[in-house]
Amino acid sequence: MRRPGQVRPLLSLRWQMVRSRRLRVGLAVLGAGCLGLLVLAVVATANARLGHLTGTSISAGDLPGGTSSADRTGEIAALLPSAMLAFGLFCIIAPLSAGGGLELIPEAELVAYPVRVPTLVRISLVLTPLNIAWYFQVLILLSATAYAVRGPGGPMPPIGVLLVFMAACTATGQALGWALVGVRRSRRGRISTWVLLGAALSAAAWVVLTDRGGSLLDSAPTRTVLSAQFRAVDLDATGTAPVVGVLLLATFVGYQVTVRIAGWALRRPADLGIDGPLARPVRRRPPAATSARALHQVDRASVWRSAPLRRGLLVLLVLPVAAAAVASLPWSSIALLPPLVASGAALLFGVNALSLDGSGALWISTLPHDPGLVLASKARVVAEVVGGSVVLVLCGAGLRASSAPDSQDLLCVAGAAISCVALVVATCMRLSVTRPHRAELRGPRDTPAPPGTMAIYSARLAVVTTTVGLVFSVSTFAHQWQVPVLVTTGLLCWAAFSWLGTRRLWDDVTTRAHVVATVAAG
Amino acid sequence: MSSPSIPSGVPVDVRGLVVTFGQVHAVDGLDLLVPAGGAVALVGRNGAGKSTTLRVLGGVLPPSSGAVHVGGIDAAREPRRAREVVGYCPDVGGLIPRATPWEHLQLAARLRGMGPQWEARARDLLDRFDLAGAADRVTSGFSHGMGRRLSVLLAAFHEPAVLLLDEPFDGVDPLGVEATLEEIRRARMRGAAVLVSTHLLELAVQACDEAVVLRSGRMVAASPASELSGEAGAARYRELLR
Repeated sequence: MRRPGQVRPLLSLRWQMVRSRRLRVGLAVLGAGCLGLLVLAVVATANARLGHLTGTSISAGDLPGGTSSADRTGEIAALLPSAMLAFGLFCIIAPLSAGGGLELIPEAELVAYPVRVPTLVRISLVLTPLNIAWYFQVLILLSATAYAVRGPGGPMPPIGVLLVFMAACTATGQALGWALVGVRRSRRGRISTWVLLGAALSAAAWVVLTDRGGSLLDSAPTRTVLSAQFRAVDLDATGTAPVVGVLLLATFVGYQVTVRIAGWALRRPADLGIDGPLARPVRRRPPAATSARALHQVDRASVWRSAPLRRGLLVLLVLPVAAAAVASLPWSSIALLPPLVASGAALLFGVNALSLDGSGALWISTLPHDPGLVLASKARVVAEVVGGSVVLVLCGAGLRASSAPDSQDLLCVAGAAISCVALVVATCMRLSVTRPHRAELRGPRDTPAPPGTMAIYSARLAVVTTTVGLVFSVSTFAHQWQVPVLVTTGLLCWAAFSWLGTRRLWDDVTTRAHVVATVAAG
Repeated sequence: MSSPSIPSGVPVDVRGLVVTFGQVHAVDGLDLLVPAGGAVALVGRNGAGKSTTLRVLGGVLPPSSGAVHVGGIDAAREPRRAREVVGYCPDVGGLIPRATPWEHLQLAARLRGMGPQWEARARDLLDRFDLAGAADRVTSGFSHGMGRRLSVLLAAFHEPAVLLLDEPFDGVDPLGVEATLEEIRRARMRGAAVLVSTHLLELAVQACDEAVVLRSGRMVAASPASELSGEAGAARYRELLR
């Protein structure tokens, strides 16, 4: 007898759990907007007029006259295999950092229900587009394919090949993510993954230091996919079918393997006993000199003792540093890194920073102290994580920059970093006070808020920080030091204004009681 | 528990307490007095308003109306001073998940401005509650009973004038129950007022000398705790809950 499906009832339950009408509308608008943007990008790029100038014959002087004189399809097509390779790597790394995949409802809340492993895997696949980094890569790949791969078949055949490639990457990436969850359930497995990570980083460093990045990308296996796309656009079915067939097979096998590996990982007992991380005693610190320091010590420990937060931070730092090191970016592009990293770091816990205390928030609120200290301590720990990530990534990118920076470059990059950190911290604290959620941040797939809310938060942060990054990126060409200084001052004032508003909200005893009751709910 | 005619200045003095959540009256005009050295059990069904009352006294929740004094301090007007005299064990968790018991004690000592003698007091309590061996382990790895014991320990740590214990015996083993009862005895001996909310009637009778039965946010009975003891007491209690 065929068992009833579980995915639809669970999705329906999760939707019903979104009580706020505003949030429901926001999610619907976000979903429709994202889908509309994909369609718009494909239509616009596929119909973009091409001029007679190509490749090296294009100069900067041609650009102000209009894009119609330029034909960049060759350059874009040459970059497509690398972009597809980056997408493939992302599809592996994202589930690795998310502990297998995204959760619709936390595992602990479903423990009483017989939710099957294939259901968990399917839900995780369905939720993949909620990862804004995944979505942006899809947007870029679709637009680039529609623009660069032209022929009698129109944009749909090559896009079809691309979609199958994306499905294969997404399905197989999840298998690796779940494998890591299973392996890391034992002490030996955790040591093995660290050794593996060290080996991968060493290999990446060797590629960068020996300048082999270009030749490696030139021989990327994704060139076969591009070649299939060109055959598809020429309506050459016999040339396209083998690649599409292999990709479809990879998708099917990837899904089946994911289900089996996820089942193995979830059945495997975690060594939470005498050898487990929870049973290990931690070193005692000397008592703090002030109340603010005492609260900060506890908050900082709460971040670094959380496995999903540590892993998220590691991925967040390693990926942009490695990418920037390989790419040897110009300083105008380096100015775009702080927004990217700041948003990512904030999404680890900052958007719901008050949940770090868990049910302990209830106890802390009965201790005699200035409530502002609690909020300031959380803001400080968010600023440390966001600011620290930004500084490390800028150092990594700066060391491998394509040229030496001039004073304007340095001012713009510093302005972008300071403004983004300030704005992100202010936004995080506002969200933490106005939209608190209960979050344990303990299990490998725990997130600070439900998946839909996280998608809205990431879109909101991305819009703000990317705008800031673009402003500073353009400012590197301005040759006037006043521009980045004025922009930074304005943005810092905006952040300060937002922070003061949040402080006023937090000072209200009823708001505080609501936040505490929510994050401490057992 | 005393009659409302007892003058203010007693450690717990609640008059006409109302707490509303939207349209719901969680507590509806409650009067409650606990004298120094007294222990009162708050009993009643789920949702009767026991935990809400304790949260107001603990300074977690503001009252919608009514007067709440702890240790002679108006909890609504001077919440920070009120918290200095109160020790509160919440009904759920109440522990920072990735902090150790010792770090909880360090934080409490710092925020309460306790002198250097806090370490000796902390060690003594950890020993008595059988948590010395787990003092440096993060609390997210604790069993439910261990967590409850630590919550009681933290509430009693600074020897407060008002000790508020919400479900302190829930899921706790007999030795943990013994340690909690002993802590209540010690608190009463030094003149503290103790308020215990629990569903375990026999333990409420052991720990307290008076019992208040709440139903739908209102007090429906107040009597010596011993009257709720045994078969006859349990039958009377069941009758009051209906």
